[in-house]
Amino acid sequence: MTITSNASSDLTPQAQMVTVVVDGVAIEIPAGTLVIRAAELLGIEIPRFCDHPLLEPVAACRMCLVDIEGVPKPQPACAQVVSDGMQVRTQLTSPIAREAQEGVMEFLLLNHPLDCPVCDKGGECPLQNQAMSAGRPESRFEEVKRIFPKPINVSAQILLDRERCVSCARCTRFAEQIAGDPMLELLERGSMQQVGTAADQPFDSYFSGNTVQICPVGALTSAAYRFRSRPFDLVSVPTTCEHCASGCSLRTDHRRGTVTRRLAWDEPAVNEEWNCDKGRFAFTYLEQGRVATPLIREDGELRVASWPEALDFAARGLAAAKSHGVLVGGRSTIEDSYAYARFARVALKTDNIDFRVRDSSDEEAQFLRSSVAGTAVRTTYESLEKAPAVLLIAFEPEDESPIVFLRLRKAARGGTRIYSLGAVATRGLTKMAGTLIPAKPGAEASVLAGLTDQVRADLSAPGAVIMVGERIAGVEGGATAVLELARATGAAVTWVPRRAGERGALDAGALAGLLPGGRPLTDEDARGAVAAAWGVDSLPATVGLAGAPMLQAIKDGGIGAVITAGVELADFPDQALGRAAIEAAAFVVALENHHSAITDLADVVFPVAVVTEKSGTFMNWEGRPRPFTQTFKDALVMSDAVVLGMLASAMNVAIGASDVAGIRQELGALGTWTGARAEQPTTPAGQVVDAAYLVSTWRALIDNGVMQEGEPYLAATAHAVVAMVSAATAGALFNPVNVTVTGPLGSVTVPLQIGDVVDGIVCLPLNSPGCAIYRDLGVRAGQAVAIGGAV
Amino acid sequence: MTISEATRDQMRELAARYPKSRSALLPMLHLVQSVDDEVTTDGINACAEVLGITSAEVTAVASFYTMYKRKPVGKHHIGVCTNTLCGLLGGDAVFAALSERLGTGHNEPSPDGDFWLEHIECQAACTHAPVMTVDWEYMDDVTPASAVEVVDRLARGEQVASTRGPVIRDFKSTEHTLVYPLDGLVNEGEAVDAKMLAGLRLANERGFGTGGGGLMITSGLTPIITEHWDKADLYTIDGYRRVGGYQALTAALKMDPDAIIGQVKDSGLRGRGGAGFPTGMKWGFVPQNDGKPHYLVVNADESEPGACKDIPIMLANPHALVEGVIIASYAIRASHAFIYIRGEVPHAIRKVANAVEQARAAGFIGENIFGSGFSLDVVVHSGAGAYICGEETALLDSLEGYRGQPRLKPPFPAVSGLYASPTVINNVETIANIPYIMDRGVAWFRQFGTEKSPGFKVFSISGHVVRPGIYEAPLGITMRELLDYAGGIRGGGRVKFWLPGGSSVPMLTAEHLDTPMTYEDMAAVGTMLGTGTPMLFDETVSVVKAVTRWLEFYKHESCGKCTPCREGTYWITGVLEKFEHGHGSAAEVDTLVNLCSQIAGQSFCALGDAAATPYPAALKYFRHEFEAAMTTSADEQFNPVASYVFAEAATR
Repeated sequence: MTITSNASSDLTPQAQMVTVVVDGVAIEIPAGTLVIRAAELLGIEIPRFCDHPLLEPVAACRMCLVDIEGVPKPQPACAQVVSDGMQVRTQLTSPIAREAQEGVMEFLLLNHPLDCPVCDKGGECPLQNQAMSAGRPESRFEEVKRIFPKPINVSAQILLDRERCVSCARCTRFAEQIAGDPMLELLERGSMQQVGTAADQPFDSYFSGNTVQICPVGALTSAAYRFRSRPFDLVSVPTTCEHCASGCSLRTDHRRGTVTRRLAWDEPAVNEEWNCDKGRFAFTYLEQGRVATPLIREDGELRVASWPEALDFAARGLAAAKSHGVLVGGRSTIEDSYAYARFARVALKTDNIDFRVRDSSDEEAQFLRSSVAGTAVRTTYESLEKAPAVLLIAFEPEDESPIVFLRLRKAARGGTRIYSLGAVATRGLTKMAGTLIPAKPGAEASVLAGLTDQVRADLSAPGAVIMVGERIAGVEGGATAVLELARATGAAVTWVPRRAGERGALDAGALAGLLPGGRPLTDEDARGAVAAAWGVDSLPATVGLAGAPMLQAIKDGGIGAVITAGVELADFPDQALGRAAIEAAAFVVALENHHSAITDLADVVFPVAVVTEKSGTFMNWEGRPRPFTQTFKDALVMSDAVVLGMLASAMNVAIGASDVAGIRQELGALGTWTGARAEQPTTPAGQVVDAAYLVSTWRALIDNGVMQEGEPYLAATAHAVVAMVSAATAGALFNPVNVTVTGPLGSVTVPLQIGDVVDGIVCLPLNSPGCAIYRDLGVRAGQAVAIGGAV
Repeated sequence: MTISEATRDQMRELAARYPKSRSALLPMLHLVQSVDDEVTTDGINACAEVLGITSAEVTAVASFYTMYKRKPVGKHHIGVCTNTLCGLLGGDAVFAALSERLGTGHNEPSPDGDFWLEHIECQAACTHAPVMTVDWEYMDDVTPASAVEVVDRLARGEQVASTRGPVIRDFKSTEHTLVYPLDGLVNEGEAVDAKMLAGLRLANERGFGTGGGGLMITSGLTPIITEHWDKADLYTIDGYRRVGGYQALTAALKMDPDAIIGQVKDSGLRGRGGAGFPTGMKWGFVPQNDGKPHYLVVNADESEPGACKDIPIMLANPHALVEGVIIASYAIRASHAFIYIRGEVPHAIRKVANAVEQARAAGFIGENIFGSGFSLDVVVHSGAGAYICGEETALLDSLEGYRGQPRLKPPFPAVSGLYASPTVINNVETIANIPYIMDRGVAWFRQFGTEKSPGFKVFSISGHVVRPGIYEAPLGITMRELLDYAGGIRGGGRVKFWLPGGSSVPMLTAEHLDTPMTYEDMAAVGTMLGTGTPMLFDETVSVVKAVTRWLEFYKHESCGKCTPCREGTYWITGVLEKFEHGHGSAAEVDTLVNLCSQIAGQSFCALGDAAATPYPAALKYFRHEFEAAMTTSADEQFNPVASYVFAEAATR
């Protein structure tokens, strides 16, 4: 009798190991591994086109045929699973494999135009490379090649040269399997098989650029990059995407001081090999509209000033003010945010600091201080993939954190149940086969308190996750209810901000009431430790102003001088208050890289570096540091931290290191707080506004955002701007084709779309062309609007 | 035209017929064509909306199948088979005459927009070559003059009857029938004609019976599936029951399903679709008690050039198929069966759909059949023009509403087939054998044929024979004997080359006429029994032209998935067309052999292998003709008119 142990608590079955021999070299690998992967592990590269490790095998291109002992016909290594004792001979040791591959290559090149000299892919082309390594020197083909009119637009951004295509179906499989946007398909058949779209529906996927990157030939190109350069003329630098909090690894390619393109880089733990089109294509802003020199206001007009003059001007202006406020936009690196956090407390001796240039609330601040800042990494992309259930609240991942969306979709395909609490079953939720938990804006907290037993049971399973978006700030009682639900179910709570810099700014202490590492400002020990580290006697001990109250104080004169960093006035939900505050401020110092409404109102403007001109770290939603290096090594533009250091000097204050290495050292030395955390919020659930129609809204991934300026092809792939309502709501409208939605500030008229929306809710994009609702309507999520049918 | 709400309701109803709604896509696209005489963008969008998929996904499917048109077809669709057999027997002349009459070319409408002309691939009516179709109804044995006359009469609004089907209506009506085959026309026209009865009548005349005793019967004619085809109402349930139909089912339902599988295994029945895989073994692969639904799918996509035995079976004896379907479903514990019939044969679809409805009305299909506890639904599904869907996994994809491209194996369909559930896919003739095996037993069945190829076969004999037609005979019969029944080669001529079972098997010559028609003996001479549907060509035929036409077919039918088949057929066809026109080269004679070897064994599915078959075999026996084609075109070597089967050929 065999004695078995019941003690094992390991839930993951141990993979059975098998030994396979490739080209005479044995390797022990888990059963189920594909031959092509086994060969890779041995450093043996089998040529391939359709194979992609993140896509399901199709074995269509037949390029990877290998010779397996005992099998009469050559087998595709990309679809053949290893078995114990299998003897595989690749093109390196088997004439059969070699000839099979040469034959396939000859076939692939038949109808290929061989236009490498004018093809964007030339120089980095798997077809070109493998034709050299696995092809015959001469083709025997003398017939007429198949030709197509070229190129065709499969979207405004993506162009297709069909005659270059080898029908590997990577792009179409990506669209279907990864992005969930099967709008790019193989059409026709036989030798006329070609990639294409429906007649009237372009490939407007947020992830379309990935198809260009994984195309193993030059068939797919982007309008933005087509004919821009040769790959071998480019200098490549690994970097981190600055757009959202997903934290993608990217590769920036540049030439002669200009970024020519950006690619998704391989980061299995984060973005795998994908990124979104905003991260890929939105980089023209790096060069356009830049502030070139310091500016100071003289006789009511901004004029160019030297750095010493501007620094002196700013120092005097700040000194003259009795009280100060610091607004750090959500785009700063951890290092820059830390510099602001320290500058505010040490140089300005104030705790009036906030990174949330968006809708925000005290409840949210309490939630962030108590439950997010300085916490250890708990939920990751990888744990999402294994989660039994995920509940999304105030969060539309496809728009607000697209790589989170891709991972959630992957999880859902693997069995994870996705729930979204909100007013709309979005396209993204449908693609994740998710379930909407309907809640009118304003009712989220009460709906959270009354979830069904099924949902609560799912969230009680080990590994379940509650993902909270930045819009939780606009949900009264929302964060409180989330924390209550987490306590009741044991589910992990993770906060997914939209902007790349927010999570880092939080941990760097760029929020009133919070010092670096999640230290509560009100905690004497925490305050003392930071003061000691910073070499000052004391730090402000009372929690400063943040959010709308800070703006109100500036407007009312309670705060005299303001420092802004990466702030757009249009980002304040109450735009009138934002503008009035900045206009009313006695003295405004703007550290900005672009001219904007803020710089127009500032008294001093300091130019600061964009991401390609500095190094730094973004902390993504997981809490994972995503460091990046300076793309342009000879860039002379200074980072915010350096400018702040100079400004502090001009004010005769020492604020410590201003270089990235020095700041990282300081942050490392401080570490994270292990003491008592700030109090959790206890805000009662909010009420639904009593009105016929309420707004549900968030920012579309591709919209009016200033970092997308100068990218017309990207803009043209934005999702259609529509007002989405339920069929019942539409049925009550006078003209259910276009609707005019009216708020206190005005109206927008947009096409109506019927969807799975809670009755009485009209869902509008927050800041899209023709529909910028803070500005145009003067409302935010959950507020009442009027709707009228319009022609 | 926009798709009306009524049509959308019909689409929704179609979607509800299937376990997964997307399976309804092919019928839905036929429905679009029954409304708009083409697949319009509106139609595509309506399908997408109803099924909850993207328009691109619908477009991908619509553009894969040749029956779906992107321009208005007009009132009538005119098809002329110009595949090797029909084409060389006169289809080329028929097409030319129609092209001149209609003032249009291939896959184009006539200038007045009333007619659409298309040269089509094999219509499974090779015994009736050359074949024309009007709105996909058969017009058999046409000549250029008779074909033009058909068009003239249609143009004048006169009534034209199909040769084996109802009076011609119009294209849109046929498309409607493909969706709703219970169109009331099942009794119209005579579906069984003299050619389909050729073997039976001869057997009756000469007194050949169904054999007896325990001998290995390998000669003579043995009408079994075809035994009662001369009874006018055999296609009805009453006619079928009058000759003993559904007795086997009644008995089978009292048996243990495993015992049925055992009996089919013991019979040694091998698949009649071409590969010859043992049927009982295939059934035995289906895992039992796995908690998943099981499916039976009948492959009625008969499209192999030269094969025309499944369509005749469905036209003449559809209940044998239906009874076999019910028994097979019971055996493999399937409660859902699908009969996937190529879309180009509306009358066969009518007959089968009618048989299914009659069987349902009689209680053979439905819930708890005769108190057995066994329930079954049978769906008749129309294809839309794709030879590749005869490949079983491509058929499954097609039946699920996708492009008909083959799937990776493993997993095999027996484990993960339709809707990823265990599935058995059998050919029509295979299934039609089942009632007889169950009714008459293993010993009876095994008295026919050989040890390795037991049973009998519905041979369709076509080409330059005096009496092309259906001849049912035991396996193991020689081609010489079959040829004798078919009256020999016309005009006392000689066999130049022949193919035992479709264009996908290597050709043979007169020296092989005495080889027994069995799986094993055909393999021994380097070919395959295939579909068991011999095509014979006399000495008037250019091998170069025949092979070129077959390669054009494979190029046209390549699904495009894998490189060797997609690109290889493109290349080889181009080279062969040069030979056909007398512009080949010595180097290319050998290059073609090499190209075929670059396809065979390296393509994704057997279609690629098949495409690599005709040329090497032809070269083996007729190298001199290819060498001659370096300078002399096929038509100069062989006057094409000489190979036509109609009298007026001589005058052209």
